[in-house]
Amino acid sequence: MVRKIFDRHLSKTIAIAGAVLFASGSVAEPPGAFQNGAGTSTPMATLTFNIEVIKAQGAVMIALFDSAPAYGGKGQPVRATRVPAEKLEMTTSFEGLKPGTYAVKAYHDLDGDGQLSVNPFGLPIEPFAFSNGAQAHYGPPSFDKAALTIGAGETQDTLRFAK
Amino acid sequence: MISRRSFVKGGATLFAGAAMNVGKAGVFAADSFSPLGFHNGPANGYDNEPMQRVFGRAPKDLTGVLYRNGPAHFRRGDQTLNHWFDGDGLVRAFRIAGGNANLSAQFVKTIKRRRDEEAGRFIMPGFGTPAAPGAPVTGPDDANAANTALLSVEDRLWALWEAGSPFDIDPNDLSTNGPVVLRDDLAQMPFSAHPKVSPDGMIWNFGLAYGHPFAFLWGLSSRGAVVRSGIINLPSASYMHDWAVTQTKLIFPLQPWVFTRQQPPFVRSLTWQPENGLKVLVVDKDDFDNRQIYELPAGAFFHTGNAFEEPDGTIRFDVCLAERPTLDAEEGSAILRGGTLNRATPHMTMAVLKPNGTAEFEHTSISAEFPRVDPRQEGLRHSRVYSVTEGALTTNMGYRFNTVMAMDWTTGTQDTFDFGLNVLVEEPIFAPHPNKTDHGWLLVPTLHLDKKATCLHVFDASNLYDGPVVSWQAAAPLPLSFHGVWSAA
Repeated sequence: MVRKIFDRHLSKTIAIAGAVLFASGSVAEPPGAFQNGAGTSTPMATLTFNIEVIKAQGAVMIALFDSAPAYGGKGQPVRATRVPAEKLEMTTSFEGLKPGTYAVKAYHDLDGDGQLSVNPFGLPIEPFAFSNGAQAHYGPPSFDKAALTIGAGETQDTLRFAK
Repeated sequence: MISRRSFVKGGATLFAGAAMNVGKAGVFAADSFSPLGFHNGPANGYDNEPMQRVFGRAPKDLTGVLYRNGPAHFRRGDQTLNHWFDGDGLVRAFRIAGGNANLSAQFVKTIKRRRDEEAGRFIMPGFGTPAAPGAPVTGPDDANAANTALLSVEDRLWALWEAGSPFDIDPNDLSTNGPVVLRDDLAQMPFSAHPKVSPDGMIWNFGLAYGHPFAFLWGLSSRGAVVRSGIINLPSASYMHDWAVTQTKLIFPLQPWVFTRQQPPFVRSLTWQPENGLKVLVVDKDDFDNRQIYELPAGAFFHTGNAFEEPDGTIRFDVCLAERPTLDAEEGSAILRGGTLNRATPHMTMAVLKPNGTAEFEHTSISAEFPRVDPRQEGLRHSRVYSVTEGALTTNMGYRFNTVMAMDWTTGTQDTFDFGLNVLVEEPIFAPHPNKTDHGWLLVPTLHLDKKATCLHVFDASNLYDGPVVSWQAAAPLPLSFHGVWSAA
């Protein structure tokens, strides 16, 4: 219940990351997440993420968005995946994507409960990361800062979970 | 025979020219030195630097460490921080043993300090300083300056801010271990700079949900384990730096300096609304749902002293109350720049909450800040409250406290020692005598603007007027500190 109160960009540090960070809620796989790209003739793109965690525990939850509104919480991710964090470094790929612009929100689900854990004031207390090395600044970075524009073939990026 | 009072006040050796020298130095001479309290502290710290004993003799039973904390890094290149409260915390340790004193100091190695250093400029936000565009701010501890107070917990030292976690410090070498996670699910919850330690060892503290009318309540064992916690709804989203605790009650004085908008930096989101008065929420320690709200006239404060209950249920607490907020955005900036300020003066005040639900302030005309009591009286009836105050000669610069005071509420008298024009006096800390329950010393750091040195004085707490019983001088000045804790050996 308290989580909802941090619905805006608050002025002091208490809410700097805030629940706004993952305002779109869970990154559980959305319906239709794997429909994209099927049956088209456009050459397909692959987006590969190198994942670095500081603790081999739980899983890394990754949500891939193809538009600023969806990334901002007004839509669903085009893909989502759960990568067991069995090692400190892993890779995962999204294949069969249309060339275009994408951004990722991800968190390290240390306790394996499938949700981003927050403290009683709604602040995320599990590590999180964004594509393109974008960093939080009183909330998640903008879609533009986290965006990767990809063409046909493979593009690599790194998700580094710092703490 | 020269008295210790006359020696320290007028003596040729220690403080020549410091006191009573208005004619030569001029009342305004001190203004040009005022930034001395706000200069950058030693980047590499001090490691057990001997202090010079300049007067008197240390009491043989006084052995231990006075730890103090305060902001101490204000300038990088051509940048000056926007507010005193935003400097990185410098932890100082005055070790007293065998009649000697030495001084160590180290900056708390916070995330904020590391990121500012890596950037080569101030990029992280604070109370009055906005974040640089794009600065990586992922949670409160990224901005935590760990610069306000200290708490001894078992064999560790915690450096406290007010909107994030305590930082764990090694009390021996003052090295930083990092933010304390009190419980995994409570990571990054705010832990204010004013925990109250009850005589039974229980540690009570709060953290504000800045911008929203509630607080998080911490009840820790003496070993730092979370044994009580909860969210407390407050009657207003007031800024509250300090609170008060009695044997059975938790007291939240809510000044009408209220969050009304989201405007960085933080202090600019506060609005002074005196028409709303000051509300005091009182909550039972044993039952957080048992609440009472008292209404008082408007006043602004940073610090309370002690609080206690009388047999009929009346609750009393000391508060240094001003007619309006001080050290807002403008004053917090000006004080770093050596400007003259017309600050509202806080006065020693007793708040009285009566069993019939009414409340009143018992005002005095005595300026006061940093009120403290004998720690053995925390939450219990006290009559003597120690603080800084303004002496006969003060300047109009930002920090005007040059006198240490004991206010006695029972007799209505004050026992003071005035260090004179060119001395800034910091928060006094009571060190109990190890064996005598009614005796102790007052440890008083000072910054001497003319000698450009930090000093530490020890007073007999029952007699300030006669002056220090011993005074030591450090080789260099340190910026003014805020709060400290005595750790007896």
